[in-house]
Amino acid sequence: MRFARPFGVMSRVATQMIVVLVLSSLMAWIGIGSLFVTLAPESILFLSPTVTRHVVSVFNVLHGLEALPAASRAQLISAFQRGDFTASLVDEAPRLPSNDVDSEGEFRSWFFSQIPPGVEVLGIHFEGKVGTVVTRLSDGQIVVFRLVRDVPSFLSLPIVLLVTFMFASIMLLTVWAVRRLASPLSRFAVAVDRFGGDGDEAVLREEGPAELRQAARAFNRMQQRILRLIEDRTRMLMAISHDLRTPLTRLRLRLEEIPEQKPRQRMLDDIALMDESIASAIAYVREGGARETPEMADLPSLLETVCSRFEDAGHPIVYEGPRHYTLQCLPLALERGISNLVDNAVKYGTAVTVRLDTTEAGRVSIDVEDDGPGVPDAEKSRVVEPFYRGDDARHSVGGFGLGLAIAGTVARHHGGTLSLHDRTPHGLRVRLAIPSTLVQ
Amino acid sequence: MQSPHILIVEDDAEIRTMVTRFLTKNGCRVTPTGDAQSMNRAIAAARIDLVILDIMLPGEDGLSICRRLRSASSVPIIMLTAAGDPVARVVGLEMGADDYVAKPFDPHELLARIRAVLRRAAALPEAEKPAGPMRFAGWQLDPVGRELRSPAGVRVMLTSGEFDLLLAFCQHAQRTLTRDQLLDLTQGRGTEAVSRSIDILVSRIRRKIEDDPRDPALIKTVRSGGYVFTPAVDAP
Repeated sequence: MRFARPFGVMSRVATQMIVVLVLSSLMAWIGIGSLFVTLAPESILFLSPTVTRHVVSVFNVLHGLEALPAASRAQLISAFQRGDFTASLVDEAPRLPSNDVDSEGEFRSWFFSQIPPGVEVLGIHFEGKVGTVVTRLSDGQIVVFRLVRDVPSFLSLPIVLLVTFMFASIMLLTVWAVRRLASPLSRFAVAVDRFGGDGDEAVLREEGPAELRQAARAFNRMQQRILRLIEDRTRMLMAISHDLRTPLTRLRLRLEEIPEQKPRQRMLDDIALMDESIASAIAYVREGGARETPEMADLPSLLETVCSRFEDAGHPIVYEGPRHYTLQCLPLALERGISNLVDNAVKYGTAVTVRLDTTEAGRVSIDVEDDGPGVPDAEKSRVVEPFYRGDDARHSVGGFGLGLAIAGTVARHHGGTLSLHDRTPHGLRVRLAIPSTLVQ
Repeated sequence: MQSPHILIVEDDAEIRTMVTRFLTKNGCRVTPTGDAQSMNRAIAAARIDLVILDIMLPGEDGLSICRRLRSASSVPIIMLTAAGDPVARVVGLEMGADDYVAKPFDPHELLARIRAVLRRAAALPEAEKPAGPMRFAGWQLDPVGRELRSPAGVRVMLTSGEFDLLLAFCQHAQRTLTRDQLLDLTQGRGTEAVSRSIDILVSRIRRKIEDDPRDPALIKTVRSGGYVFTPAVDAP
């Protein structure tokens, strides 16, 4: 595929879509998180099932201790002991590195409201997963609770699952969006790139989002219009050519009945010139039209055949290059292209060389050289345009000036190029360079 | 060949008249017609030696007439066309035309081709008319598509003069042919063969098909004057 991709990964629709989706869900999470922190800072830390159980246990133990005589307290406490929850009766309140009792918060006020009357919370301290709550019963007994939190609540399984689910859905959404948006888009680009009005274009499928369907439909309609225009042009040219060649044939036959020699020859030349112009216009139009199928051909025999034809017509021309070289190409088109170049060369020069160079890897060059006046640099790019007429107005040599344009089209159909170079001391070298493996 | 009877099918009255006049002056008996119906009447009325058939005709077109004529008889056909299109040429030849002349044409060339086609028709009995590709030493020569392919299947290009000469060699393989005979066999397919001597055409063909053109194995020079095409030719 010749469709160029000069763009990086970041410029692809898929990448941009992933970035947008990931960024927007991150923003959503940050938003939700800050909302939670603002509204209920503790809830994030305390709402895990373990923490809830610990808090309830604290209330139960405190209520029990208040109701029981001092002698039975130890028994109650031992009934509540667990690995992550201990309560101990101490004589003196331990010193805590910091005390969070006074911090504000809805949860804390609820917590304090559940504490039995008479019980005083002396200190609350958190260090890592361990929380220490120091209380004093109404009779002065100090109770220290040691609570071990499970994993921090924001890394708990449900949240991990949620985040995983979120990212998985982003990926799925992206894949879907790419299939739906990006691939029709790139198919669209390939179709537009391919379209050359040469009969091998396919109708673009109308799929994807509404805008893309609309674009595809518009493209298909445009393609139809262009094809119709090309077809009209071809038909018109064929009709003109037929209608011109019939009177030309009459002229040619009438000349046969005129005995006089000198004007007769000039008229014959004019008829030949007009016929040549018609032929080159047809060849130009045809070159843009239906193509032949590529096949393996012997390039030197093709070039020698063209040379022989001109040699037989009385033009001095030599072929230089290998005797055999097989190339996958469009042989008839290539022959037309080279014929047009040689035709130009013999018009402007007296000695013409067709040279084949196959030494360069991956590329073959066909040079058609003449010793004519050459083409000034300023005109080089313009003489290859169809219907261009230089200062020397080519009326005298005939044709619509299509020779180079035809050869240029042939070169492009082979994925190659046509270039013009100066020769010393004077003359022109037209180089038709094509890849040694045909690009379709 | 005394006064061949030529049937012209051409819708342009003036061209028809002038070609008729020219061919009559050059010793042909000519029946001019303007469309398929009058052509049918003319064919029913008299024996025709050759048909000159325009492709663009009102009513039934030249290609379809050509196909019809060919299915009924082996009368030689020369197509005339204004399209100057190699595709039309191949189609015409595939429809069974013997030769093809592009408008505007030189009447002398038309005459030369008429003579060549008539000569070939006389030289080749019905059964020998080549229909499919011929094979020699692995090479394949297709007289209808006018293509030559090497043993590796690679297309090798020939000028029409070279092609006609190689075709003549294939049709007369393993026989010594003098230059005059070869000239006779190839003349008329174009002016090329006439203007270039047989020797030049042979050396060009050798460059394209021989392993060593200086020591040719396929087209050998015969000392007494002439050439012999050495390989056995497989013709369908």
